[in-house]
Amino acid sequence: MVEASQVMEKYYVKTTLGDVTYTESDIVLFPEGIIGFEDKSKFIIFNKQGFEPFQWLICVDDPALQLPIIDPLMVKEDYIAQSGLRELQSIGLDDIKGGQLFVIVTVGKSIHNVSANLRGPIVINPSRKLGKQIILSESNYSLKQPILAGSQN
Amino acid sequence: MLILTRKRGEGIAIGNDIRISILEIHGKSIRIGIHAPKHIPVHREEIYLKVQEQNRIAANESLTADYSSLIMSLQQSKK
Repeated sequence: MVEASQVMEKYYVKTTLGDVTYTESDIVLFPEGIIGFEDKSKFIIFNKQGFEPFQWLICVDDPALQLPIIDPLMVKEDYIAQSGLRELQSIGLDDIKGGQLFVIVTVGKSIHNVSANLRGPIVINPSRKLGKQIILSESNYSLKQPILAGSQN
Repeated sequence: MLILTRKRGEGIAIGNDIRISILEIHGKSIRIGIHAPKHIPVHREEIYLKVQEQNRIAANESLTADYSSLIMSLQQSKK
C-alpha cells in the first residue's frame, strides 16, 4: 500500500480574509447549522497570525459566511455558560465543561462598537468535531456586550 | 395558522415525534412541556429571533470589517 493515501487532501476557500487552506479533519460539523443560517453545517475555525484574539468560523460550502469569534473569557472574565443536557446531547457532550466555548463578535466602525454575543455562545465538542450555537435562556448576558470595558453601546 | 383550544393536561401531537403538553395555567402565564427529538432545537421565540438577527448582523459586518485597524486600536486601548 502506498503511504500517500494517508495524506490529508488540502482544500482551500477564498474569503475576504484571504485564501484559507484546510483539510477534512479541520471541519467542525454543525448538524443544526447556526441560528439564522440553519442550512450551513460545515465550518472551520480559522486563525490568522497577528489577528489574535479574533478567530473566524468560516463555512466551507459558502465562504461568504464568516463569523468572527472570540474566547468569551476575553470579554468577561467570570463568564459561565450553563446549558441543559438536551442542548448538549446533540453534539455528544454530557457537560458544557467538556466543550470549547466561543462567542460571536459583531464588528462596527470603531473598536468601541465591537461587541460579543454572550447570550448565544458557540459550543464545540473538540473530540467529535461537532458544534452548535446554544441560547442561554436563563441568563441575563447581553447579545451586544462591548468587548472593551467602559465602551458605550 | 392552525388554531386549537386545549385545556390543562391536554396536549398536541405534531408528526410522529413531537408532543406539546399544557401543564399549568397561572393567570397570563402558561407552562408548556415539549417532547421533541434532540436534533430539533427548541427556544423561546423572542430570544431566538434576537440571536438570529445578531448573527446576521455579525456575518454582514464581518465581510467589510477592517480587522487590522480594529486589532491596532484594541492593542492601543490595552496599553
